[in-house]
Amino acid sequence: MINSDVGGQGHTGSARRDRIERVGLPASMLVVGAAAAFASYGYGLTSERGGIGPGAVPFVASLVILAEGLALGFSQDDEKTASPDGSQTPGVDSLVSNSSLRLSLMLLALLSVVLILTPVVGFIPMIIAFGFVVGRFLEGVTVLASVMLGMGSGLFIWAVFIVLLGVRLPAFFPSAF
Amino acid sequence: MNDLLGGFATALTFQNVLVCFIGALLGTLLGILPGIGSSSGMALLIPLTLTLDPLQALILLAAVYYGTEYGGTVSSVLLNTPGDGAALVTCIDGYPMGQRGEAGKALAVAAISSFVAGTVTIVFLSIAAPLFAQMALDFGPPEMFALILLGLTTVGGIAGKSRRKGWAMAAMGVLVASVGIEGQTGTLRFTFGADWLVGGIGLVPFIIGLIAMSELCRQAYANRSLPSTIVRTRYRDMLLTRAELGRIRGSIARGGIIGFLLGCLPGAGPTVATFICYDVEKRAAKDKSQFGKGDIRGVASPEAANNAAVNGSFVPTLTLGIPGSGTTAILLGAFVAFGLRPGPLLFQEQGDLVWALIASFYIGNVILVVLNLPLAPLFAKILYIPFKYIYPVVLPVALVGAYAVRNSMNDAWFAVFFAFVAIFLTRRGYPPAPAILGIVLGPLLEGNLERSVSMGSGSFSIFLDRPIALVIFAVTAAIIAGPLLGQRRRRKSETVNVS
Repeated sequence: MINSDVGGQGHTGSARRDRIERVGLPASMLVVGAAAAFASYGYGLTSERGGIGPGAVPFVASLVILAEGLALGFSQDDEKTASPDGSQTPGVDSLVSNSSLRLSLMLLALLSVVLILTPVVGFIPMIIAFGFVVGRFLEGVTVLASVMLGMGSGLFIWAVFIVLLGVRLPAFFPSAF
Repeated sequence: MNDLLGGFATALTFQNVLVCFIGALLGTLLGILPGIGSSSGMALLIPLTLTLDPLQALILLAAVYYGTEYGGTVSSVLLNTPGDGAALVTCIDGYPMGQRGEAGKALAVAAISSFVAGTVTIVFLSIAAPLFAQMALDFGPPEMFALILLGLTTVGGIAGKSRRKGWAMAAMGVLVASVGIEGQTGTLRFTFGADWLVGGIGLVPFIIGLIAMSELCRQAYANRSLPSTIVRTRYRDMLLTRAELGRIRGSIARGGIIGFLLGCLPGAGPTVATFICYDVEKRAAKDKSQFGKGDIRGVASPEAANNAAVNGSFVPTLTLGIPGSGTTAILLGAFVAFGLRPGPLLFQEQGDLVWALIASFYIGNVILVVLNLPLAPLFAKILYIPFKYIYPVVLPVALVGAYAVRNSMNDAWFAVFFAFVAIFLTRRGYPPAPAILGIVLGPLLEGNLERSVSMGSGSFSIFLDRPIALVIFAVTAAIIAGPLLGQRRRRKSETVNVS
C-alpha cells in the first residue's frame, strides 16, 4: 500500500518534485504553445479568397497557451487542485500530495499495460488482472478480496458492455481467433 | 404551454419514465459517493448511453445531473465530505445537525428544499428558455461568433480564483478540436503524418480521460483519509414539524430565486450559487447564532439554490449553446455526440425533444423526492463501501467506455493520455471543464468566424455593422478587463496606504 511522504527525506523529495512541476508545467506550455503556433502559421492564417485560413483559430488558441506559459513562468503560483467543475473541495486540497500523484500515475501506468496487452490477451482477462493488482498491491487488501475485485470488475464489464450494450469488444484472447 | 404538454406526452411513456428513474437513482448513488460528482458521473455514463435513443440518453444524463445534486447532500450530512462541489456548503450546518442526532431531519430538509425549489424553477426554465431562444433566433454568424467567444470567456468563472487558467484550458480544448481534417478546406491539421490522428480526437474519450479518469485517480488517494465514522440516521428522524417547515419557507424561496438567476449566468454554476445563497441567508436571518452549528436554514437555502441553479444552467445551455456550469459543458458534449446542436435553433429544429427533456425534469424531481425522502438512510449505506473497492471497477469501465464509442483502441489511448495531462494540470489549479467547452465550441467558433468574414467579403468590418455582436463583444471585453482593472485599483490603493 502506498504511504504518504513522512520524514525529512520525503520532504526533500517532494520539494524537488514540486520544483520540477513548477518549472516543467510552464515549460511544457511554452513548448506546446510555440509549436502549435508555428504549425498553425504554416496552415495559413488567411485563405486565398481573403477570408480566415485553416490556421487562424488554432493560432490564436496557441497564443493563449503561450501567454499562459509565460505568465505562469513569471508568477509565484500557489493555487492548487481544482475539481472537474472548478470548485475547490474541502479536505481534498491538503490531501493532494505526492503520494496521490504517485498512485494516480501508477493507476494510469497499469491501464496502459491493460491497453498494450489487450490485443493479445483480451479486455476481460486484463481487467481481471488490473482489479487484482490494484487490490493486492496498491490497496493492500487480502488475496481473496483482490481476486473477487478482479473477477467482479471483469464480470461487470462483460455484463454491461457485451451483454447489455452489445459492444464488440476484443474480450478474450482476440489474437487466437 | 401546448409544447410543454406535448413534451409531457412524450416524457411520460413507460420507457422514458424508466430511463428517468434509472438516471435519478444512479445520480443519487454517484452523488453520495465522495469523489464521483456530477461531472465525473456524467462523463462515465456518456458511452453507456450511446446505444440509446438521443432523447432517452439526454433524459438519463440530465436525471443523473440533478440526482447527484440530491445525493451529494447525504455524504455532506453523514460524513462531512460533500459528494459533489455544490454540496460543500451543506456540510457547514448539515454535519453539526447529524452530530446532534438530527441527520434524518437534515436530509429531509435537503430533499424538501431541493424538490420545492427544483419544481418551481423548472417552471421558470419552461418560460425563460423559449423566450431566450426566440430572441436569439435573429442571430446570424457574426452574433453567434460573438456569443461563442463570450461563452469561452465566461469559463473563467468555472476556474474559480484564476480566470486565466480557465481561458488556457479553453484554448487547449479549441486546439484539440482542431486536430484532424479542417471542415472548409480539407487541410490536415496537427496530424504530423499519423493516420490515426486524421479522424481527430473524439469528444467522448477526451471527456472521459480529462474528467472521469483523472478524477477517479485523484480520489483513489483522497478517499483513503475519509473519516471511518459515519453519522447514523433513521427513517423516523426524517419527520419535520410544522414550525420547522415554516422556518425554512423563506430560505427555500430566497435560495431558489437567487440560485436560478445565478445558474443562468454562463460559468457560474450551482457551486457558486450555494455559497452566495448561504451568505444571503445568514445576512437575512435575525438570529444568526445557530449558523455553522446546525441551523436548518443553513441546509435549506444552499440545497434550494443548488437545484435551482441546475435548472438555471439549462437556460444558456439549451438556448444559446453556452453551458451554465462545468457539468452542463459535459452535457453539451453529449448533445454534440448525439448529433444535436444546442442553440437558438434547437427549439425550432428539435422542439419535441427539448420539451420532452424539460418535461422529464418535472418527472425526475418527483422521482427524486419520492426516492430520497424515505430511502435516504438506505442509500447512505453505500458510504460503508470503501472507495478502494469501487474505483478498481469504475476505472476499467471508463477505459472500456472510451474504447466502445468507436471500437477504437486509439480512443482508449487518448483517454489515458488526457487523464495523465489532467492529473498534472489539476494539481496546479487548472480546471478541466473549460477544455470540454473549448473542444465543443471550437469548431462552432471557427465555422461562424469563417461565415462572418465571408459575409463581409473577406473583411472583419462586418462586425462593426452588427450592433448585437458589438454589444456582446463589449460584455466580453468587460469580463476580461474588469477583474484586471479591479486588481490594479486594489494595488494602487495598497500602495497609497503603505506610503
